[in-house]
Amino acid sequence: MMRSRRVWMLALTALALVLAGCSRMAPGSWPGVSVGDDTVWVAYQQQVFAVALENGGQRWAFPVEPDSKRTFFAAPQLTADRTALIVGGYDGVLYALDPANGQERWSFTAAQDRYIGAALVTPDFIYAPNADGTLYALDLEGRPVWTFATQAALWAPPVTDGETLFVSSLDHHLYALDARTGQERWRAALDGALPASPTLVDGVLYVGELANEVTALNAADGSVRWTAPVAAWVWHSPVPLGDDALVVGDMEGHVYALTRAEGRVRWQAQVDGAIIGAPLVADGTVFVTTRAGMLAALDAANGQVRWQKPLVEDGTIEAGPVLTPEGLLLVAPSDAKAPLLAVQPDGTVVWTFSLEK
Amino acid sequence: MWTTFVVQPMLNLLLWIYDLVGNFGVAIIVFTVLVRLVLAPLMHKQTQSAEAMRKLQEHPKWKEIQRKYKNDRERLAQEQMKLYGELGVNPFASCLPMLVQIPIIFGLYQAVILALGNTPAQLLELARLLYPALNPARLIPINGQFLWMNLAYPERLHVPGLPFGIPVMAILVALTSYIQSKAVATTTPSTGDGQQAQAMNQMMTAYMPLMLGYFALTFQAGLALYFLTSNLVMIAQYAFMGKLSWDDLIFWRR
Repeated sequence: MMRSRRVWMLALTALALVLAGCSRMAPGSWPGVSVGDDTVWVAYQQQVFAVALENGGQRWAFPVEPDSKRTFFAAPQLTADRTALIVGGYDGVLYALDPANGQERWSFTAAQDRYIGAALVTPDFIYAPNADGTLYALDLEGRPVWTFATQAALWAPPVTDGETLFVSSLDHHLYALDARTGQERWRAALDGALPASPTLVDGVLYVGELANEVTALNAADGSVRWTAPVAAWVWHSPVPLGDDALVVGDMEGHVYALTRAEGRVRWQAQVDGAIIGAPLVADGTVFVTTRAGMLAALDAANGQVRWQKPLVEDGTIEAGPVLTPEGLLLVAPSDAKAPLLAVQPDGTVVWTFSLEK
Repeated sequence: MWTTFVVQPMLNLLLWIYDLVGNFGVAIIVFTVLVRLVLAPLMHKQTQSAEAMRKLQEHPKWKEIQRKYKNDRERLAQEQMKLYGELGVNPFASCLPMLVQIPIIFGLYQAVILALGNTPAQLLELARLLYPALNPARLIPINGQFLWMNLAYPERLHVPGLPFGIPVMAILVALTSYIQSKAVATTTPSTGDGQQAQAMNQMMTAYMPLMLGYFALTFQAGLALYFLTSNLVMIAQYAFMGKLSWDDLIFWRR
């Protein structure tokens, strides 16, 4: 019996070490990227970086040295007056940084959980969605103005038409709020959790769901216009395509062009790997990134796959591509060593932002 | 293989129970009771084996070889193994139920983290592992709220006026582990060398509750709930088998 107790003690000790290791293994999300005139900001793991668009050189990092108590995945957002870069962390703190040098200007600490999605910054407000289920509305100095609570985490920034805010929640609801007061105007119950912002076009909201469907709702009252079934979860905001269509990708690698009027499939394509981030439409081409580490280019008119190129070996890409003013594609692999690539529209890598010293 | 054969079935069973009962804490409790029922035959074997070991130590031949070879550890071990064989006692049988719990704990730990998927990466992983028959769209996200706890995070009870949270679950897990260690006296016979065995038993009685209490303090409250439920069910099982000795616990009566 003594032997069995020793075995139990050793086994428990080993288990404690393994569990302790496991709890710190995987990053929580993928890089958050936003683009300025000559700078791109990347939030990934323990730092936020300012990177020169011209050549991928690092301008600054916040914090200067990686801090294991802070992680960042939400895309930083520049205020309209360009005096502050707003970024939320997994420590539940919303930071305002000086865009020129990354110094902290102020912070907001009242949230109870992580900032997973980016904030929405307007001329008068900062709207910060938090995983505690609350949307925090702050003024541009970080002072709270109002809050709105939902029943589950908020992982995406709201969108606005200037007067109304539209908020997606993991609680399966889309909410419409007065942008100034936070008063609820309506809420719509949908079939699945909403991890991404809705897309607002001409008074209609389009939203992808973790329920194998895309839904269109009237922005005025939240009534459903149509629901289009797809093969798997849609993780991102639908992207406008031309004058009358949308493009979405699902977690089985299907890319769909749907008509905005009725949600009919205009064309459908298949790429290699799950699509998590929103596709990018530019110059008649639909660009998608996939979890197989691929960047694919499809003809926007008919969905024909022009090419697919692996950009990372043994890695994944969850973030969707982002377009720079010069027409380059910024791709953010979930790679701790090289979380940002600049790519030409033909798939040629122009530069790599690397963290390896 | 580990994910396919251990974590994935465990995760889907947990979520199926959650779908039935509507509360993730209750689902963990029900799951734990099921695990304990499945392990009950092993536990029965363990107590039988421990009883056989206890009787063996009162056997005249055992006492003789202890006396004869007390200064020759190697020979003593050989003679003990020979006697185990002669009398049909398996000294390792009592290890098995304990060891079987290790992958269950580890699998449950991963299943709880995955099920409560509170980061995008975790939710992506969860999506990959769910059986389609479960209707994942309806279930996700899992509501981790149970009583005062969020099962996705380490538990603390915040009382107005106190600047810190009280780790209620860690205390309860440590306490019930201690009770289980002390009260199940008849299944823990002392081994050959009396003083050393007693010291070992005392260390185990202190070590296991501290270790499990540390787990409950540090890891997700869902895991702490599993430990607490498991301890309570084990105490009840031993009581049902008539193996519970509260006298050993009420030490101040001696």
